Amino acid sequence: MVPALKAALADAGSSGGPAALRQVIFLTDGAVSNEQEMLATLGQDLGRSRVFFVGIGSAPNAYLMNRMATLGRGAYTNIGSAQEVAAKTAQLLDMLRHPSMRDIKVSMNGGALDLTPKLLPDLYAGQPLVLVGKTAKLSGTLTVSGTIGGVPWRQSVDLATARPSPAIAKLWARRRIDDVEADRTLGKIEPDAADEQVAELGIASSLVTSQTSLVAVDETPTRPAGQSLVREDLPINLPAGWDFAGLFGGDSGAAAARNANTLAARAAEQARGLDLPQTATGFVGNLWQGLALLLAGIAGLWWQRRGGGAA
Amino acid sequence: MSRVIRQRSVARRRLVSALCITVACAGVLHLCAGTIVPAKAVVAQILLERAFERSIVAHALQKPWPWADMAPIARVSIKRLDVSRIVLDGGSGQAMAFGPTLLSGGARLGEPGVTVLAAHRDTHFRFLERVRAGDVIDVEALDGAVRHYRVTGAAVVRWDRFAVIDTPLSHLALSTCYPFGTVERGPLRYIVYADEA
Repeated sequence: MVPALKAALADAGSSGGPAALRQVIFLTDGAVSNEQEMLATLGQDLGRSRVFFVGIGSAPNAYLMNRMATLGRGAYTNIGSAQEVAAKTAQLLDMLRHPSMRDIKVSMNGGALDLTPKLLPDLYAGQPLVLVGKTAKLSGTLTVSGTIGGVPWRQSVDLATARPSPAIAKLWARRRIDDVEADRTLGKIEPDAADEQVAELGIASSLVTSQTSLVAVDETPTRPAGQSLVREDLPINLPAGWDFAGLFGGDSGAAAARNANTLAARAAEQARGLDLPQTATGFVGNLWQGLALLLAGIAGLWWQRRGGGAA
Repeated sequence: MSRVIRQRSVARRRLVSALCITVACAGVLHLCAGTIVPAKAVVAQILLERAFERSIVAHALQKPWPWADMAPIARVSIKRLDVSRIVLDGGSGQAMAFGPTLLSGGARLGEPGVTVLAAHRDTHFRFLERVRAGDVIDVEALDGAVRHYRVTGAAVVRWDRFAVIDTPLSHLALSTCYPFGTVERGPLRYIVYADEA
């Protein structure tokens, strides 16, 4: 899917002029396998495009689609069944037809506020802009600016009148975790640092994250006294509308499905991690830097000689 | 009075000249440092190619130059793209300046398991970008035997999220940095997978 995404993001820049809003709709069954490549492409080649994702079927990879929509600064729509097609598509197209505010920026005047999300999407008709912030002391003014139909727009809010809420604290932590995940995808922070930050946020706000779980301990015994523990593999159901034969093919489908989990577990046990070495010399960057410095030096000498001749 | 001003302006001009010359010299140094990388990569491959031919004849590892701390162990080529590279043993960053290297964490060449070869994306493995599923990779060993691998696909992974599996078959994984065509060093790696045909 990466070539398709790249082709859609390639922007000649001439279509509709610089003021035009470039909207890309990406329609998929959501069984995306090369996640990292897709996310990296979005992070790198997005430019001025806005990418909207439509996932079809009962089990698209909603987590990934949401992340891609965040990076693509668009939105994610899930069409679960054939009955929903008309309603959901109409809703999406209606939204795309009515962009309301672009280039949204938020600034603080006096006082500090830790705001999230970091990547601000465009606003469409009827959509609110929801910012969640954390601060030790409520003071100063928050200014939101953007352009509506090419005309600059700004609005300020006095934070002295704001009220704190524990519910917002949880929402803030959730969004901050999304920010951390986006940074991880774009390679802005190391994975270990990202894990640590997610764990900290999760523990502080009692959230279930990739690093933290809620554990319930039931103290009532249910296993008959004297019986020992047993271990067995339990079958996992496929998402609604998927079938084993389609996935694994023909008569052997059922057998393959029975084996799949065990085989995957066994393969995971036998896989050994292997760190891949750094394989970029970056010599092209060196060449450009050298050329730039050399030209700057020569230009400086030339300019000085000319100036000296005139004096 | 005017003499003082003139002396000052002469001193300032000399200072600016010296600065400009320093900047230009720094540029030349950078250019040299940048040119030496691809030059080393190309020249080393020529010497390695000769050492590899000698190794086949002598039935023993031959060093490409007397003070080399590595030796050629195989020739990897793809006919469709008309590329051929001599592979080195030992995956040190040092050896990688001269050619693709065999990572010691993977299987030995031609043995069951996954053999992992790594090289720089801007020199020896630049062609990986153009490799497609279905391409045939020929691996010629020191004994002259040629094994054929068929490319099954490619993936992008983080450098610390890669694993090799133990299998009874022989697989090949070619690794280089991703994305292609950029200058920055990043955490992503591009892997081309191939199965023995």
